[in-house]
Parts: sequence; C-alpha cells; structure tokens
Amino acid sequence: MSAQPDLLIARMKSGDQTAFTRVYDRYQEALHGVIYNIVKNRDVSEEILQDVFIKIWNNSESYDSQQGRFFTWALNISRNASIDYLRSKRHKDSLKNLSSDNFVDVLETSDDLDTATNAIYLKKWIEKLEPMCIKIIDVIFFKGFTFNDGAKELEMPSGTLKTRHRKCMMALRNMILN
Amino acid sequence: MDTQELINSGDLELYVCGALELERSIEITQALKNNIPLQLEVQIIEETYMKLASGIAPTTNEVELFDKLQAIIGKDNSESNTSSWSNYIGWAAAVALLFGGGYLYTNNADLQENNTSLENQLVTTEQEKEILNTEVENTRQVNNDYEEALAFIKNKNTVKVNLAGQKGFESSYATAFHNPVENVTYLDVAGLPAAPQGKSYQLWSLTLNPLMPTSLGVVENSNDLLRIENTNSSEAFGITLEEYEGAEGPNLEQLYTLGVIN
Repeated sequence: MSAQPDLLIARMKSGDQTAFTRVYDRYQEALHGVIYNIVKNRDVSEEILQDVFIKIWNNSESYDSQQGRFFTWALNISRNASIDYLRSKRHKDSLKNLSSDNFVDVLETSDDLDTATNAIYLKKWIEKLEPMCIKIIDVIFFKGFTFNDGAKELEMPSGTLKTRHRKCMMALRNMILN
Repeated sequence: MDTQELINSGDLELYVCGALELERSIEITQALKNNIPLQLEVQIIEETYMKLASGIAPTTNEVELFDKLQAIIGKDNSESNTSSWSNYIGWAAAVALLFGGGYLYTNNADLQENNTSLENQLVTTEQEKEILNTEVENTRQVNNDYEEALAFIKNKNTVKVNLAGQKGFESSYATAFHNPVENVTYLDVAGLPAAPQGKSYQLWSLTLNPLMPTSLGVVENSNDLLRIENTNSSEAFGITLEEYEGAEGPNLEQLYTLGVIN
C-alpha cells in the first residue's frame, strides 16, 4: 500500500516532466481500465488515455486537494472523456457492437484482455462476489454515477446502496489485498 | 461522527469514487487531516479500486504509448515556452553551436559566456535531480512507515485504547495501539492541544492494582503515529502535561487524557 504521492503531484503542477512521468506510471493502468470499460475498444481507449494525460498535464494546477484525491480527479477526467467519445459522431458512425452491460461482461467477452495478467486475477476475485456487488461497483465506480443517481439506477434506497457498496468493497479488498 | 463511524458509513468509498456532493467531499478531506487511521483506510480503498480497474486494462505497448504522449507534451512545452530542462539545454546547445560555427574567432567571448551559461544550467539540472531524488526517498520512507503502522494495527494482538479527555481537558483525546506480544505501543496525539512553551506531554503506562505509573517518555505534538517500545504490563495509559524534560511521577492535576485497556 502506498500513500498519494503529494510531492510528485506538486512537482508536476509546477511543470516538472519527470514528476509527470512518475504520476503517469502510477495511475495509467487503472485509468486505462476505467476508459476501456466504457469504450470497449483497445485503440480508442489508448487514444483517450493519451488525451486524459494531456489534460492532466495541462490542467494539473486546477486539481484542488481540498476537494478530494488526485485519483478521483483523474478518474472523473477519464470517465468524462470516455463518455464524450461515446456521444461523438465518430463513435456513432462506427459499427462496434457495444452490448456489454458491466465490467464483468467486458472482462468475459473482450479479446483484448485474454492475456492480461491482471484480468486473470480479477476473474478469480469477481467469481466470489455477489451479483448485486458487480452492479453496484459498476455503476458507482466505473460509470461514475453520483450517489443519488446510482440509487435511482439500481432502484434501491440511497442508504441501502451506501451500506451494500461498503460491504461489497470490503469483500473485494479482502480478496485483492490479501 | 467519530473515526470508526465514518469508516463504517461507506462515505469513504464514495469519496474515492467521486460519488459524493462536493461539500461532503471537502468535509471528508478535512476529517482526513491529522487522522492516520482514516488516511490508511482511504489509501486501502483507493488501492482496491486501482487494482480492480487495472484488471480491465488491455495489454498495451506502454513505452510506445508514453513516447507518443511525451512527444505531444514536449512540443506543447516548446510552443508555450514553459520550462523543460532537456529542451532548454538542447536549444542552448544549438545556439552555442551556431555561435561556434559563425563567430568562432570574432565572438570568442560570447561563446565563453554561452558555455558558462550551459554549465550553470547543467548544475541547476543536477540540483533539481537531487531534490527530486530526495523527495522520492522521503516519500518512500513515509510509505514504509505507513505500511509498518498498518501491519501493526491489523495485527491480531494489537488492541486499540481510546484515551478520553479528563476533567478540565474534555476536548483533548489521544489513541494508543498497544501490542503486548511485540512490546510496542503506537500513539496518536493529534487530538492534544499544542503544549505550552517550556512544557511537554508525558505518556504513562499504568497498572491498576496496585495503581502504579511508569513513564514511557515525553511525547511531542505530532500528526504522525509515534512508535514507543513498551515492555511494561500496561493496563491503562495516561498523558499528563509536565516540565519540558519530563517528570519522575505524573502531575495528576494536569492529567489530559486517560484510557483503560479492555
């Protein structure tokens, strides 16, 4: 486990490319996963990942640590960029079939992930998760719904969503971190 | 809402996901300050999400991807004249070459000046590198400390002891994590006010029957967990305010916090 690299982020904000490289190394894979889960196309996800890090570099001074984690800030940029792509004419003109519903569908049906070591571990973990947990984590983490919108989407009281989300994450983290 | 209630509430997971209202997120950021158990919890949550998301990242040629990115960022930098030492040195070298070719004999003084400037820039770059390396090392050390503290707190033999504010000091608090097998106690004193000039807080290990205090030393105000070797058969902990160098016995009129091991 490691703390948020505040010093590196501060250096990046002041224009240090070396610090930016280290920030990229730390966060790129997770952000790539979030982007891929939304756009479901490897080439497109790589392009969006690149755009996301250009935005991170160009707008790093707008990250306000009082408002939340750096990862959360970068996560929002990644989701927004991916959703913008889905709404774009370029996407609508493509013939890609995007019938997959959540991250487990993506994990199980994508050819791009077959050989990824992380994916192999993830498959083992999610086999043990309750189906409701998969829906909750998909909506709240991957799709980026707000708490209240997520409760509406999943048709459950917001208090229940919060409790279940915590319970699901506890189950997942016990598997992942142990 | 105390630390454990906040951890159990599920708000920290939503905080990391970015699913909370901005106002609530700012409140949580405030709560995280000076609260190491909360910070550790948030780090674990974030790491879990990152590992989860990494499982859905397609295999890529990371080097190629980053080279493309760097080419774009480097280009933007040169256009906007923001600082990039490598670009700047390259540019300065080109200028030096131009001078060297065209004005080798007539402008030797200028060339010398450019060389000196280049050397200065190289020295500055080396200094920047050293600073960054030091910061990385510091960050690594902080990470190691966090990991060590987390492993200690998670240990099945570690017990948490809440040291509540005593009469006259009700707003003060501290938390001890004591492991009688390892003979180590971690102490969080972020809930104590700054010690007055010339005074120090002193931590006491107590046995209850008979009531017997043993000094575990003076403790500085700190936002970090303090690690203390403790071979005593502690049944309770207390913190008093004493003279700067500490006292032989506790001044019970200045007993700030006290907590019994359950």
